[in-house]
Amino acid sequence: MAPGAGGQSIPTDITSERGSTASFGRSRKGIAQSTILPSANCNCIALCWLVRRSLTLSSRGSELSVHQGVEETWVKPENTNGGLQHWAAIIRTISTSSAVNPALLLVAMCAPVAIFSMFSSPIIQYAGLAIFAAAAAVTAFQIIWFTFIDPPKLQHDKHVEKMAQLRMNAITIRAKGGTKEISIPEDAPLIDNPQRAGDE
Amino acid sequence: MNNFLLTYDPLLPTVRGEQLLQYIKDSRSIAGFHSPYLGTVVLKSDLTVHLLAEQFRGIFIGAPFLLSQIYPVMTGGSQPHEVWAWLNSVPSPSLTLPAG
Repeated sequence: MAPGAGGQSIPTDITSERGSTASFGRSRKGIAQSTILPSANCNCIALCWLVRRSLTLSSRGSELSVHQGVEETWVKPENTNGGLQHWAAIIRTISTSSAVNPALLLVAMCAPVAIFSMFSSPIIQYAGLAIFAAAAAVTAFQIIWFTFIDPPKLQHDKHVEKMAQLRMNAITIRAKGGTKEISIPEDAPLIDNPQRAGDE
Repeated sequence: MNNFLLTYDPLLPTVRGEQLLQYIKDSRSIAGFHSPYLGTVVLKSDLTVHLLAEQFRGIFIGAPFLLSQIYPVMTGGSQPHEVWAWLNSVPSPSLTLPAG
């Protein structure tokens, strides 16, 4: 515990306050977008990101208020892309739960291509196998890389989300020899500024 | 000590929130910070808004961001008590409000 600005005691140990079962009630879906993903999966990531981005923007656009002169109207959200949102949520989940998952998705997409190419001419067979082999090689490389070189990336989004969540619930203050954090309880009541200036 | 409000678009792939917060944490010119939600950081620094913005331009390469100085007594909203206590923990500079 450390003295707070107002003289009250404020817990500083975030880990002990939350423990390993911290809930992420304030987490935001955009957290995963700040993760660093391997460049080898640029195409797959870009595809997933575009789907997510377009759905996010389309759903936003239907909820935004439209200014027409001085009048403000509210456009009723259209529930036409519910199915797409469902698939976007699935893609978002599986594409960001691990840094290797995009490569696994790529292999899953290339596998049917390779299988179907088996029923074609030898050239197409070789092409299908080459595509599958390339995807498998990328995946194998990533697994080896993230296992031995950069282990945190294997579950990077969870790591980043947890760190971001902890920081959202904490105030970081520079102190002698480093920084200290004042934790904010998740269930802390929200109040207005007690020292704000009067309205007059 | 001045208070600043930094806002940016967290959905932009070029802006990585973790890297930004790490930069803020490592920056010696920033005395404290709190990020209540994505895309928003409240800072305390002795620098002026222009000097601080110049620092952040190196982080937000080509990405838009907004840095504005805020005054605790002129700030409202709904935040936990701890945030208000931290925000109000330095004496506010005297304000000269525009006449009228």
